[in-house]
Amino acid sequence: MTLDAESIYEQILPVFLADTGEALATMEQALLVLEAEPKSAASLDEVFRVLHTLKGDAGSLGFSHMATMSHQFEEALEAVREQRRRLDPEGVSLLLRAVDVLRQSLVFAKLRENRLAGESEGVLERIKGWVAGRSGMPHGPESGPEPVAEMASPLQAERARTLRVDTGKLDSLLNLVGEIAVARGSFAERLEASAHRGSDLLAHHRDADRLYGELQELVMKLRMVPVGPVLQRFARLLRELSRSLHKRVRLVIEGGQVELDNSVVQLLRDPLSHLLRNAVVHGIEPPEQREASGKNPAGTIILRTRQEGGAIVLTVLDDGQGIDRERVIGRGRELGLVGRHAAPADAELYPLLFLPGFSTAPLSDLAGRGVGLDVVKQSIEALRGSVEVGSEPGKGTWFRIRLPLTLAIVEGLVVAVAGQSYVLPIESVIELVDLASLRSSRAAGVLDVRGQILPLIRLREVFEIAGQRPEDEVVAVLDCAEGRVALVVDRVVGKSQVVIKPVAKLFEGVPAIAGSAVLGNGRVVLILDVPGLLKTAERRSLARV
Amino acid sequence: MGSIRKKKILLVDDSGTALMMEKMILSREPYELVTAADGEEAVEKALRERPDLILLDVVMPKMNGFEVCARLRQMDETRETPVIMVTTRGEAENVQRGFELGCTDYVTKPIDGLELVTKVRNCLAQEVGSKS
Repeated sequence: MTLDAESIYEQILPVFLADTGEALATMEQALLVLEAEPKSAASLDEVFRVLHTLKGDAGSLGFSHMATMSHQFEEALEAVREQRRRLDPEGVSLLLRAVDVLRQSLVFAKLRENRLAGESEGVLERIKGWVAGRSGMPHGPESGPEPVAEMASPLQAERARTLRVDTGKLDSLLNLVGEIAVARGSFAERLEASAHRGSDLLAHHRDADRLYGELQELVMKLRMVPVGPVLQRFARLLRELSRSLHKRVRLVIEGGQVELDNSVVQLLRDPLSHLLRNAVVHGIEPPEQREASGKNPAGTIILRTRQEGGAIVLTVLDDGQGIDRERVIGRGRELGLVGRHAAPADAELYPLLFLPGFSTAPLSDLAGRGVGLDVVKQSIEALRGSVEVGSEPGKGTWFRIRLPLTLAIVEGLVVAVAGQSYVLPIESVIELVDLASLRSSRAAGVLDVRGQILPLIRLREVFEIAGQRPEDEVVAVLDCAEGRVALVVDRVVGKSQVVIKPVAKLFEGVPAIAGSAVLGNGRVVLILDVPGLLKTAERRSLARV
Repeated sequence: MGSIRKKKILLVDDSGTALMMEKMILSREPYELVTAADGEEAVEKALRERPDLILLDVVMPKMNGFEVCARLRQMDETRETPVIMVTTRGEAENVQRGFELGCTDYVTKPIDGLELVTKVRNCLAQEVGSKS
C-alpha cells in the first residue's frame, strides 16, 4: 500500500515546511552557542536531534537532496563529537552556510521539487573537506579574527506543538469578541431594567457573561508571543557583522520570556537591528584597543526586555567606548543647535542624535552614533513608545525603548468622575488617600503627601468636566519613570481586568489618554496615560505661577 | 463491548511530518490513533490511554525512544504492550538495542506504508493471542 502523492503533498508538505523552518532556526542558534561554548553537549545534541528529524522527514517526502545535505552535516558534527575536528570559526561558517542552503531549498520543496538551492554542491564539498581536515584557509589561533557571538539565554530545547494562524484572523476574532462584549453589556443593562424582581434571568446571564469574559481573555493571549525567539535571530547578524569588522562581540539576551503583542514584536525588529548594528560599528572597540584600555577583548552587548509597570522596556546596552560628547557638541554647533559657548548637559545633548540629518555623511566620522537614529525614533514613536540614549565615556552606551502595552489585558483600577469611568494601570498606582486628610498647599498646584511634594491634577480639569465636586474626593498617587503625580478623582470604583485596545483616531494627540479599554461588563472606557497626566499637571502648575 | 472496541495505537514522534505520515497510513485501517510529541508525553499517554500498540521514534527530546521503551517495560500497565520501534535506515545498532530493551518489531524511515500496516496488524494479532 502506498500513499498517493497528491494527498501526501497537500496535507503533509505544509507541516514539513513549517517544522523545518523552525528546525533550521534552532540549529542556527545552537551552532552559534557551540562556537562560543564548544563544550556545550546540550547544544550539540540538539543540532543532532534536529538534523536527524530533518533527514528523516526530507527522505520520507522524497527530498533526497535535502536528506543528503543533512547527512553530510551530521557527519561533520560526528567528527566534532568524536573530537576528530574542533568546531572552529571556519567550520561554523560552513555549517551556517549549509543551514542557509537548506532554508533556501525549502522554496523548491514547496514547489514539490527535489533539488537544492544555489551553491549547494560547493558547500557539500567544502563540508567534506573540512571533516577530512582540508581547510580552505590556514588555521591557527592567530590566523584571523575570532568572532564570538553567544547567547546567555537558554535554547528552546523543545518545540511546543504549535499551529500557525494568520494574524488577520486573530484580529477579526479580537474585534468580534470586543463587539460581543459591548452587546452583552447593553443586554445586561436591559435585563436589569426590565427583569422582575426575583427573576433568575439576570443571574443566568451573569454566569454566561463570566464565560464570555474568559473567552475574551484567551483571545487576547493568543496574540502574545515571547520576544526571545525574534531577538535570538540577531545573534547571527552580530556574528557576521563583528567578523567583517574584525571585532569580537558577545550578545546577551535577557528577559526573552517577556511577552508582547505579535505585531509589536515584528515592528521592533528593524529599529532593534539598527541599534545593534550601531553598537557593533560605533560602540565596541577593536580587540587590541579594548585590551589596551584594560577591557575584555570581546565586547558585550546586552539586549534586555522587562515589563515595568504598564510598559515594556527594551534596553540595548554595550560596553564600548561611549559617545564622543565633543563631536556631538561640534556637530550641534555646526547646525546651530548648540550655542557657541553653551555646555549642554547630557540630557539636552543626546536627544540631538535623534534629529533627522544630524549625522554627517562619512558615518565613521561621528565616533558616537547618529546614523539613521531619526528613523529608529520614528518607528518607536509610531508604536506610541519613546526612546532615550545615555552614555559614559569609555564605559559604553545604552538605548532605552519604552513601549506601552498597546494591546493587552491589564489589571486596571477603575476610577470615576461625574459618573464616567476611567482606568488607571494598576502598576502605576502607589496609594489611594482621602483628599480631605491632606490639606496643604493645593492652591499652588502641588500636594503634600506625607512629606512628598507632588504635582496635583484633577481628572475633572483634564477633561474639562463641569459639575459639583463631591465632598469626599480621592487622591491616587501615581508613579511612572518621569516621576510621581497626585490625581484627584470623585471616587474609586474598584479593580478590573481590562482589554487595552489601541487608541481611537479621535483621541490621538490627547496627552492623558493611553488607549481605550473594554471593561468586564462590556463598557468601553478610556485608559489614562500616567506620564501624560504628569506632563499636563506640570504644565498647569507652571501656568499658575 | 471489549471485542468490538477499535484498537488504539499511540504514535510517538517529535516530527510533525512523521506523525502526519503515520496517521495517514494508519487512518485507512479501523484504528483509534493518539499521538505524543516527545518521550515524556509518550510515557504519560501510554499510562493514561492504555494503547494496544505503540509506534515509537528513537531520536526525541526529553526522553529518547530507548528510555521510553525501558520505562514502559518496568511498569505493570505497559509491560505487555507491543512496541514497534521507528528508526532511520542504516542504523542497525539501534534496532539491536531496541530488541534488547523489549521492542516487538521495528520499521525504518522513510516509512513504507505496506510494511507499516502489515507489522501493525501482526503485532495486534499477537497481542490478542498472548492475552487469551
